[in-house]
Amino acid sequence: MSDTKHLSVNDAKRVFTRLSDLARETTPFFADVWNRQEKEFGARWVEEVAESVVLLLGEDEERWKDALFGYADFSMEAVREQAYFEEHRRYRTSSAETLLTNCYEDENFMMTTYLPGLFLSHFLWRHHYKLLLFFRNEVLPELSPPGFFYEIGVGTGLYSCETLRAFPSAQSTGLDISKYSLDFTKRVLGAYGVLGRYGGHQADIFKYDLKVGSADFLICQEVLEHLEDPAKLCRLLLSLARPGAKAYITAAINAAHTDHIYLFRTPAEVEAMLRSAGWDILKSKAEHAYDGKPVEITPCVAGFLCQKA
Amino acid sequence: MPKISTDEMNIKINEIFRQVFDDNSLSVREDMTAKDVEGWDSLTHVNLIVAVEKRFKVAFSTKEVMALRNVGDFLRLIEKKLGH
Repeated sequence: MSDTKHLSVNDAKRVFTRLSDLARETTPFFADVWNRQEKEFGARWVEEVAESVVLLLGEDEERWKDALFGYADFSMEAVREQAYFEEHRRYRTSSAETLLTNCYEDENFMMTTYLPGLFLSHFLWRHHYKLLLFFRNEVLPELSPPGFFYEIGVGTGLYSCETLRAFPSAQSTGLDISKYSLDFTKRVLGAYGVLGRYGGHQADIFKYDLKVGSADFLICQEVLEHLEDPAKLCRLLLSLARPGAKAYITAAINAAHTDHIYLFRTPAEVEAMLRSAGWDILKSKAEHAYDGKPVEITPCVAGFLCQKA
Repeated sequence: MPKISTDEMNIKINEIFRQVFDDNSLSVREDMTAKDVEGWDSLTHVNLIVAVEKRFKVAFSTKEVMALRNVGDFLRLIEKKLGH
């Protein structure tokens, strides 16, 4: 999100310094990540994270503290689940049955932990941020300006926001099973001034009346691992694309979380599923969360720029 | 879990620290913080929490974990959970 600057460089530095100090005060054992990311990604990253926080939360330190706590809670949950995965080599659950009640319909969990944590993780988790850079630098430039695109499973709306900002005439529709994801997405898109070109619908993707062959572009970002049958979604996405349209589809691999139920063990498995659904793969990128552990137990995210023939 | 003495608990905690940080020379002290141990970052911190939960059959909330400032705080929290 670099096309419009909302904060001066000095203000961004001031906000970042206060944010990382506040992280050290309120969530000391989760504060190391701020300096680690700054060291790896530099001044541009500092400006970006400061700007995102100010746009979403203003300069209200109580809201910053809530978001930092949400991030710590989100990260702790991920590491707890990853520990289970390392021991058992499977995710704790493979059924979607309880996800709605335990997660997506739980307002307190979604709005105070899951969504603020997920949003910050796009900047604070190395593999998430690298995939965001891949999308920005290597996927968006490959697109002809889309008139209309879908985002299936909006999460925090960050990727729709990136696309709407990159293409000022694009319109978008987002679908998500969680009302709170859609609310959060509207907040993100509103903060960046692109909400007027967006419509959000709460729906089960497999039961919603979508326009077949209508999309110039599709985004489906870390959704596949939340489904019992991700191959079905890969086929549905293909049906929504017009011929020649592109899609950006990603999946978490060996990455446990509260609501991850389908275990992809390699990026190649995801690629094979996409190809089997009928997608051509134009580009891909896989990034790991950290070094030092065997790859089969290290969280990874892989992104694919796909095209419908 | 049968009640254990503070000394036994401290020995077990020391074992867990050595295992998590892969350092057999590590000796925990009450005033020890993340700055004192190489490799003590957010990831190893949660691994430490998970290992203690598993060993002592207790559970910590994020709020409890967030409030910890040093090893002493952690030891007192474990004692509280064990009903000492």
